[in-house]
Amino acid sequence: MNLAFDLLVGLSLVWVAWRIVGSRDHFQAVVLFITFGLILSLAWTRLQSPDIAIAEAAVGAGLAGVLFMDALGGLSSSPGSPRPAVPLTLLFPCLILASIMAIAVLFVPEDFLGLIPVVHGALTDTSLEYPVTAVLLDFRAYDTWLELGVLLVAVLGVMGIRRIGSISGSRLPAPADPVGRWIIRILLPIMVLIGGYLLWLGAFAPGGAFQGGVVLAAAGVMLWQAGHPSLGLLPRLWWIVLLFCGFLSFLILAFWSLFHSGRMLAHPENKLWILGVEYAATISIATCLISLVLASPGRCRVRDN
Amino acid sequence: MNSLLIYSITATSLFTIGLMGLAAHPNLIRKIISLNIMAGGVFLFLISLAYHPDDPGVDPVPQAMVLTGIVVTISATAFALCLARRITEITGSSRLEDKPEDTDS
Repeated sequence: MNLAFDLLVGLSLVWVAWRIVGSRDHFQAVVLFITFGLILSLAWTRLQSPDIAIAEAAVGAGLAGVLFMDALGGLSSSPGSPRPAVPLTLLFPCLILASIMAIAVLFVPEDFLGLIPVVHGALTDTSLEYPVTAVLLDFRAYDTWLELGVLLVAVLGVMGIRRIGSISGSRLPAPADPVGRWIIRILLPIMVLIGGYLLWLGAFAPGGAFQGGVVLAAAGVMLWQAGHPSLGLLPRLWWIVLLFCGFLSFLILAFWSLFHSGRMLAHPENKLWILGVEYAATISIATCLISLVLASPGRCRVRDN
Repeated sequence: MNSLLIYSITATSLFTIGLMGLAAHPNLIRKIISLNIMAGGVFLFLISLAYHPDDPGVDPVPQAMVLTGIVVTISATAFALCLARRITEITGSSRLEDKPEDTDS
């Protein structure tokens, strides 16, 4: 039964991906890509990775869909090409590549445990009980720190290309109709609640900074979609503080632990530190993602339209 | 064992399909979508190798990597789409062609 379900999910993933690449209509490709994100998050739940499923559902199906739809409006001046979408000369090398990689998978040893024993052995040294959060915030804190840096660089890059200094004047979508406003009024508090709950849950169950931040970002983007400036209402200084607080909290922790224990990012015993870093990271992730979506239409000169 | 095989082979197929789309489409949005499919394939491959159906569960290190990877992918996508918009504004076309004079034909 499970095997049949896995087969169904796998086949539909490949089929949808094939349709995305093969379709000539750009709009159809974007809609299929949103479907692809949803099926992929189904695959994550089957692979017992609920954390990734939450992030994928909010990012792959939600935020990416908004970004692509938005870009489609600004870019779709060129008509679809008259020739077939995938030329045959490309198909055969790709088939060969796919079969080589599929054969390589057959040689993966089955009893390869990876880093599971190491992580579970080290869980006693940290105040976090859930292994994924422990890896993210403690064992591999450098990765998370620099990942927040990548988000900041992306925001700076988008603002640089758009030549805007803050998101407060960015162009807004048309105000939502009454039904849309009604749905948003119901959904928004629930999403904020879910985001906060996921953040709190991260210490001992699936959840944490990334999932919480991504759900909060989706809530903010939904508000923006209704024609409300959401984060644009904040003063510029506060917006910058929210944008940088995750990165800065890791920096402060790194400096503090360098002088106290001689090693960077060595977490102190106190659980407050981990909570502080996690909350700051969540706020930064949400702010960065909302800013990325809000800044990309750019150009406040069309404000009155 | 079987789920491992199904999802790994799905992942490699997704990667190849994305690669094919990246090479085949001149339109920039379609290229970025194809890159996202490739990223999905890579993530699925990582997790399918980390997955053990019975006792030890899923390796948390690849899970954390994929979690950061998803957030990095969306920020890179937003940046790439912004660059694509800029290219369209400057050149007037959202397609990458070898011979720009042939785009109208």
